[in-house]
Amino acid sequence: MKDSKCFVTLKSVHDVMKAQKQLMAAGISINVVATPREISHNCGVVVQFACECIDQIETIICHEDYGNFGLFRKSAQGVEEIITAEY
Amino acid sequence: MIYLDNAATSFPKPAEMIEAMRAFMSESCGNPGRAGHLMSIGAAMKVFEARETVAEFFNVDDSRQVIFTQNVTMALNTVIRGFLRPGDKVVTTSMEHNSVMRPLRYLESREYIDLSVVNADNSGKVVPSDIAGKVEDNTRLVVINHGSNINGVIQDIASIVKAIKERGKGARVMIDAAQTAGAAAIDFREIDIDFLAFTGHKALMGPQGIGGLVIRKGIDIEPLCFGGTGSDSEFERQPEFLPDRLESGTQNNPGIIGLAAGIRFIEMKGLATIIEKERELTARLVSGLDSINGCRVYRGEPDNRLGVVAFNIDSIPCSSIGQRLNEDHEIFIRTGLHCAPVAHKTLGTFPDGSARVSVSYFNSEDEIDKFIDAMATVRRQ
Repeated sequence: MKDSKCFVTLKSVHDVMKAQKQLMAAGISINVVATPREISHNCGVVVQFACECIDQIETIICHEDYGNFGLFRKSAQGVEEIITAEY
Repeated sequence: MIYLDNAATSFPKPAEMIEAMRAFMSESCGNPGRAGHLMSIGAAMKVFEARETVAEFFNVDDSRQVIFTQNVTMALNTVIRGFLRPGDKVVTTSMEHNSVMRPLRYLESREYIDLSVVNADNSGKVVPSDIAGKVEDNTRLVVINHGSNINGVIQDIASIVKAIKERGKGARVMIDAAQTAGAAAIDFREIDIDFLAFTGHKALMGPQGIGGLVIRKGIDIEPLCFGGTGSDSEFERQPEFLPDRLESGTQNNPGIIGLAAGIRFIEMKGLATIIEKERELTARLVSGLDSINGCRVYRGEPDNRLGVVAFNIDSIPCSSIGQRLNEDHEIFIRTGLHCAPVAHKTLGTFPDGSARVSVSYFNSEDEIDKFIDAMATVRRQ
């Protein structure tokens, strides 16, 4: 799992930018990247982060008013959907 | 040259605003949401920050409630055309600009809505209870001009909204802040309105071609325009969430950046400081015009007006006043009917119109004095 990357998908570019600002303010190292096709989410960009931060990220995203979001892990074995939340 | 037509569009613009647009267009003008490369993501962050700036300026809970439009007219039309349903009643005032009256009269002519126009007094002020008294069970929307583009009178929006809400009919309230955004304090949360329509290129010191709409959370509006948003891309239907639902196609991103920079300039100077300076200039202007023989000045009360003043002089057509000022003195004002015929009727200046002088933070007392001297010359000719 060392080579895996994790992603959070949000519904809009606005929300991805908001998350970027919020997560970086929390000291989490993230990147905004084009949505990997295997994840196939509707928004063109996602937040990419190291998988060890997943609990911290889930807490922050759940705490805020983001509405729908998804957490994904991508590795050589494929894409694993960890959480998809709809509000 | 002396520019006194700031109610049409403010000039000059802050150097900081021009520089922000230049930097964006020359260094990072990608298309937000349309790609995952650094230029696109960088532009998306700039637009996000601009939306946050607007939300903070108007004290809006969530910046997703801020929609960018091409101007205030588009913002007003977005609500009038997208929120109203057949058979709805709409209440408005006799101080409205055509950006409100024309779409409302159009819907009325198609028998889509029932329109009531509440008369202001001959100074342009509307009595809150007069508006509230027109609100009935099927009144879905009340549209109110916040500050007149003719004589600068500012309505007591807080009292008007309170009176409307106390009627308990569920009517939503939109204010047209074309002239007041950036020239008067507007607290979206405190005054309890449902829609705020504004433009960026007047008192907010931004460029032309950008405006916006603030929408109370939970209110749905049918889009005027449908198309690509950079979201929900696998679906052929329009997204249901804001801001994307009401922002189809590539936006005026340089304009959005300029608008935010204009607001930051206002915040740097202090809105209260700007308002105070414009009030002092306006008092000087009114006093000077009052001293000219035969000059009739249309203005609001000193503590409740914008830096917008209309006037006429005896039998001199207002167009001649504007022409003399332009050609002989290089002073730029506006004359005629200011796209607000119903408001001119209210003030008694229809159909001839009026001359209009409008100041900004960048005007000086010396410019006002030169204008008054020029007017005295025009009067004598």
